[in-house]
Amino acid sequence: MVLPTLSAESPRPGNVAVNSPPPSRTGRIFDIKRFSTHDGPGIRSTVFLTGCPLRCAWCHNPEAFVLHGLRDSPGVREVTVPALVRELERDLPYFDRSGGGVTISGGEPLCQPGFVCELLRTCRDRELHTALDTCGLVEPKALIEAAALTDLILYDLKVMDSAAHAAWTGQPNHTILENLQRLNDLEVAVWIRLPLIPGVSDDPRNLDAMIARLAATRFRRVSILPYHRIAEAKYQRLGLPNKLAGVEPPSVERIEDVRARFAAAGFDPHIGR
Amino acid sequence: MTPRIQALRAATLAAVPRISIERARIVTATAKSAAYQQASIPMRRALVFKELMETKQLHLGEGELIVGERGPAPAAVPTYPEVCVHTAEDFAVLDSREKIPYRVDEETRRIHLEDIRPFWSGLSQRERMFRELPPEWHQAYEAGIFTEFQEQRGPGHTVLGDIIYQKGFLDLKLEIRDAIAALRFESDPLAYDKREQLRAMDLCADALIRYAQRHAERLDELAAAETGAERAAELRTMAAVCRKVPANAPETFHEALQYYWFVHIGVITELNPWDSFNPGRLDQHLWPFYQQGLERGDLTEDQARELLQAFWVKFHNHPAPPKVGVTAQESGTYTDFALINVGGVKPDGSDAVNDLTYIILDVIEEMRLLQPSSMVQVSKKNPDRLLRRVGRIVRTGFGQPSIFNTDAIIQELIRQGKSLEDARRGGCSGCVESGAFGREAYFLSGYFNLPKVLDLTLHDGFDTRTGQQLGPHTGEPREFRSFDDLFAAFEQQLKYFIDIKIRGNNLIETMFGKYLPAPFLSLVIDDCIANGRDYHQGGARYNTTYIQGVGLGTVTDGLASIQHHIYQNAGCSWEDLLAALDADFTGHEDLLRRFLDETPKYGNDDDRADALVPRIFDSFWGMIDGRPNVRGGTHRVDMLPTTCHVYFGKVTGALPDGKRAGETVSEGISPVQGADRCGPTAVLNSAAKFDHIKTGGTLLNQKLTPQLLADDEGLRHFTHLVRGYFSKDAHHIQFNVVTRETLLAALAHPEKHRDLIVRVAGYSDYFVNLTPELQQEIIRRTEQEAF
Repeated sequence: MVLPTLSAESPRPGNVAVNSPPPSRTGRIFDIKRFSTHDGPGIRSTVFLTGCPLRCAWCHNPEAFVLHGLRDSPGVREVTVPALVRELERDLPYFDRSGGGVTISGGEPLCQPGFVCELLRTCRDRELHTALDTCGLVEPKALIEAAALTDLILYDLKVMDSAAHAAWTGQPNHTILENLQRLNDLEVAVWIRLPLIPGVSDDPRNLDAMIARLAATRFRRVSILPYHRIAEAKYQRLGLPNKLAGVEPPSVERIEDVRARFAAAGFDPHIGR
Repeated sequence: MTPRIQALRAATLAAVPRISIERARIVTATAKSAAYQQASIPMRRALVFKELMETKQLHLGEGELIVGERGPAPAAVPTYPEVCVHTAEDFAVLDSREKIPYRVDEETRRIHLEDIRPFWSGLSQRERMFRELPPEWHQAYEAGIFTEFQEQRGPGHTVLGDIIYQKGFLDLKLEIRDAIAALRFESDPLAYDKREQLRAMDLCADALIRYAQRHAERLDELAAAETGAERAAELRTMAAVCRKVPANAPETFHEALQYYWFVHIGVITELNPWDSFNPGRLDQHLWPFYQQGLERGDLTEDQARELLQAFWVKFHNHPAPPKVGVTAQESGTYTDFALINVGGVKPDGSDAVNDLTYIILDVIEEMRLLQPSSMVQVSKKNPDRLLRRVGRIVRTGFGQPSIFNTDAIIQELIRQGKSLEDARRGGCSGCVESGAFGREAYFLSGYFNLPKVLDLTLHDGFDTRTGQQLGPHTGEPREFRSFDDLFAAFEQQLKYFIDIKIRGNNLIETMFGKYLPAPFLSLVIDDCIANGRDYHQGGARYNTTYIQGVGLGTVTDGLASIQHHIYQNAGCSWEDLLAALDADFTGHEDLLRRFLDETPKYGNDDDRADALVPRIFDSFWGMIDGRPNVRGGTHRVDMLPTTCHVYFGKVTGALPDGKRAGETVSEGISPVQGADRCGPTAVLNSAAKFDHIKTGGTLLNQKLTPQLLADDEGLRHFTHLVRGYFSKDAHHIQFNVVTRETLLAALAHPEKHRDLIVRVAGYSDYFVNLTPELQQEIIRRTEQEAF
C-alpha cells in the first residue's frame, strides 16, 4: 500500500458523504501538547482547537473560547491539515511503541467539523490512531461523521441535572445526553470522562444519576479527572473572573470514593486518564 | 540487607577521604634503589609494583567477605608522584576546600615535602609533558579551549573482559614464557624492548599472587584468633579463595569476585588511570559461576546477593585520586567512574539478560551507593520488563542506572573497525564511552569547549577574557555577508584548536608509552602479551584516543540566534549584537529577552535550530575522526562533559543564545538548561538529529517528575520513551527523578538532605557535594511533567 502523501492538495470531496460538514483544509488551534499521557492510550500528541459552545466554570483551557475568532492573537494559529499532521507525526516513534497517537481536543473540536473530519480522515489514511475529545454539545451529523472516522471518542459528562448543567456551563444538557445515545448505537469506542469538580459534579445524586444513565449504554470505561488549580494562572493572564477561585482539589479519599462507586456499579474507572 | 552488609555500608558511607602517603613512600624508596636505577623502564615500573604489593599495609575490615584495599584503610587515598607531584599549596587546597575535600594530616604533609616532593620534582610525568608541549598548547589550555586528561592521571577508560574468568595468573605466566621464547633477536629489532616488557609483566603477575597470599596468611591468623565458629569458618574460606586466585582460574562465584577485586586493586595501585578500572559485563561474567554454584548446591541466591553487596562496598571504599586545578573543575567528584554493565547481547547476538541481571539491579537499588556506578544495556532483543525494572529504580531518584542502546554501541564499535564479536562483548565505561571490553585501550584526552570557539569567532580570534589573540584572524563578523561566511570562520577557528589538541595528544601519549608503561594492566588486556607491547604503547588489540565535545546545545543556539536575527529576519545588526555581548547584555536587556524568548532553540524539535546540529557535529567530527594517534590507532569523538560544562561556562563570554559571561554551558548533548519547552519527545527528537553512530558516546540528561513514573502506566510510558529514542540509533539517556521543590529544600537545608543523590553528567553525586554552580544548573534543567 502506498501511504497517501501530505501534499497541500485540496481535500477529496468524493469521500465526503451527503449532508456532511463541508471539508475544510484549515483550522484554528491554540496549542499542541506532546508526550500527552492522559488523553487516550499510550503516548499521544494532543492538538487543542479553538471554539466552544460551553462556558464551564472550571474550564482549564479558557483560551479556547477567549481567543476564538480573534485574528492573529498570540498563541492561536491557523493550520492546514497536511502541515498539522506533519507536525503531529514527529512523535510517531513514540506512538508506535506505546500504542498512542493523536488526540483532538479543545475547546470543542467539532466547532470546526469540516477541519476535524478532514484531519481524522488524513490520520486514518496514514494509520495514525486518533481520539476525539468532545463535550457532546455538537451537531449530531458532525458527531456521527467524526465517529466513523476516529478510533476513540472521549466523551465528557459533567452534571446530569439539566438546570444545574446550564447554571455551571451555560447550556442545558439534553443534546449531550441524546448524542450519548446516538454514539451508543454506533460501534466507535467511547471513554466517558468525568471532571470531578467539588460541589458541582461530585455529589452522590449526580454520580448515581450518571451511573444509572451509563448503565443503559455499552460504555464502561470511565476517566475520573479530579479538579486541579493549574489553570488559575491562565485566568489571571487572560483577565477572566475565576468562578472556582478558592475551591480546593478533591481529596485522595474523595477521589477513591468516586472510583469505588463506579467500580461497584460494574464500570472500569481510571483516575486522571 | 544482612546486618553485616548494613554495617559495611554504614562504615563506607562514614569514611572520610584522606591522603595516605604510604604509596608515595614506597614508590620513592624503590626509585632510589640500585636495582631500579639499573633496570629498563618497564622493569622499573614492575619493581615499583612488586614493592607496593609485597610491602604495603593490608586492611582486613570487620565482617568483610571480599578483601583488598588500595590504601591502609577505606577512603585513604594515595598519591602518584611519578605522575603528578603535588605542591604544598595543592595539599592545603585539598584539605580545606569546601567541596570534595581530602584531609591531609601534618605527618603526611611533612613526609611529602621532605622526602617525596624533592625527589620527584622535575621528574613527574606532568612536568615532563608541560616542558615539551608548545606555547600554543599552553595558551589554549589556560584559556579554557580544552582540558587535558593526562595532566594528573594515567590514561584510562579500560574495562576488563573475560580473561580472568578463564585463566589464572600462572596461565598468563606460561603465555609470557612462550612469548619470550618466541622472540627472535636476530631478526626482530624490537626484541629487546619486547623482552623487557614481558619480563615486567611476569614480575607483576608474581607480585599480585604474592599480594593475595599475604591476605591468605592474615586471614588464617584472624581465623585462628576468631572466637565465633561461623566467622572463623568464613575466614578460612576467604583464605582458601585468596590462595586460589589470582594464581589460578576461579571456579566459584566468590573466587570470581575476589579475583576481579585483586586485579582492580592492582590496576589502581600501579597508576591512577581515569575511571579506575571496571569489571564491565558483570552479569555475563558471573552467570556461569552463579549457575554452577546453584547446581552444585554450594551457593544460594542470598549468598550471591551478599557477596555482590560486599563487592559494591569495596568500590565505594575507593574515592577518586585527588584532583586539583582544572582537572578538579572538569571532574569534581569522589566518584571514580567504574561503571557496571548489565543486559545487552551475548557474543552470538542473542538476548543476554539472565536472572543475575535482575539480582544485580536489586543490589544497585538496595545499596544505593555512588560507587560503583551502574548502567543497563538495552537491546531491541531485551524484554520490556528489563526497562520497567530500571524505571522502578530510576524513579527512586538516585540517577542510576543510566540506560544505553546496545544496538547503537555495537554499530559504533563496528564502524571503528572492531570485529562483530568484540563489539558484542563491549559496552560503555566512565560516563558513556563505548569500548571493546578487555581488548581496547581507549584514552579520553580532554574536553573541547565548542561555545568558546564561537566566542572567539565573534571576536576575530581574540579572547576578551584573557586579552590575547588566541586564534587565527578569521575576519570581523560585520564583514560576513552570509551565515555561511560566519560558519566558515567558525570552522577555521575550530580546526586551528583541534590541530593543537591533537599535536598535544600525540606528544603526551608518546611520553606515557616511553616513561610510564603499565606492565600490570598490560597483563590482563588482549593482546599485550602476544604483541610484547605495553598497554600505553599500542599493545592492546584496539587503540583509540577520544576528544570530547562539550556545549553542543549552547553553540547550536548561539549560531541559530545569529542566523535567525541577523541573516533571516534582519531584526538585529551585527553592531547591536556585538555591543550587547561586549556589555554582557547590561543595558541591552531587550535584546537579551529576544535572544532568550524569541529565538529558535535546540531541544524543541524545531528544525530552525536543530538543522545546525548535524552541521556543527559533522564539522567537529570530520576534523578529528580517523586521524592517527601514536599507538597505531585513531582519534575519535565523544559528546560528554562530566562537570566540565561549568568550568567551560566560566571561561566563556556572553553568547548570542542569551548566555551571559561565566554562565554554565549546556552539558552533553542536552539542550541549554531550561531552553526545551515542548516536552521530552521533542528533546529526544532534537538530540537524535545527528548521527550518534559516528561517535563513541553521547550523553543526554532528562529530568522527570516522580509523578510521571508513579504507576505502571507511567513505567510503560517511560519504556516507550526510551525505546522510541533508541529506535533513532541514539546512544544513551539518563534520568533525574526529583522535584524542583526537593532540590530547593536541599539547597536551603543541606544538613537535612545529605543523602540526596542526583544525576550530574554520566554519574551520580550527592547534591550537597556539588558546587553552587552545578546545584543551580541541575535545578534549571527542565523538569518534564506529564500532561
